[in-house]
Amino acid sequence: MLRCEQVSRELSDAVDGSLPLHKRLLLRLHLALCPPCRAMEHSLRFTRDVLRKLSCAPPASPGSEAVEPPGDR
Amino acid sequence: MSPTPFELSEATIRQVEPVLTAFAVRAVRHHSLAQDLVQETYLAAIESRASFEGRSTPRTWMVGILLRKIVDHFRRHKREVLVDEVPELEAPTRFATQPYVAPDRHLDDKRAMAVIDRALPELSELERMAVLACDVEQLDREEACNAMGVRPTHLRVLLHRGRHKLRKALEDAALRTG
Repeated sequence: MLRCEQVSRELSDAVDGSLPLHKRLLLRLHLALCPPCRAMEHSLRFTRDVLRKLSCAPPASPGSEAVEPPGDR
Repeated sequence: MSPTPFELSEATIRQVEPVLTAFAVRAVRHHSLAQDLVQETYLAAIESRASFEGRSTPRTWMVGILLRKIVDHFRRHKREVLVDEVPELEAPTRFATQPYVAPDRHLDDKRAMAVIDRALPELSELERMAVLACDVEQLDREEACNAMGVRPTHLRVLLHRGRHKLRKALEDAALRTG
């Protein structure tokens, strides 16, 4: 049985679909029994989905705290 | 069948310009520097167009060139030690210490994207580039490793750390909203 710390490490690969079968099965088993890790997986998949939508979206507008204004290098 | 030759046409520029600009601004956090790097990417694409093999789209190919330009910039300015050392892979520590609010129930796409944009600067430069390359632009890992000059194990750690930081930012924002 995987421990929660191990699960958090595997989840990143899991959302990419790059986990080998045996690890995937162990992960599924853990997630079925552990609500906090299941919540983490849910959030991580949402994070990935939001990131994919960023591609063509302009970054946070200049003037917000996120990006320095033009001409200020 | 020979690959379609790369041509930096107006149509191609119209298609890739917003993508490259958004990528560069998020990576370097500075508009004019980002624009310079995008211009350099165009020049490099023209100079090396013979090496375009058609295995990826022009957009993906140019994002790879831009990623190399950004890494070169960081190396020149020693903004971060860009060496291929594998940092320790730590586990997030949220377990049972904080109530959970599903971010997708409280944040619409626009708000969630704004949260991500505010959280991206909190990532290290390498973590940010890994996430931008692999998650935002969906470069394959081999391509991202080549462009960033890191090994697959290092990229895996960078993605793990970057994604969990952004996940935490979304969960915190949802908790404040919910």
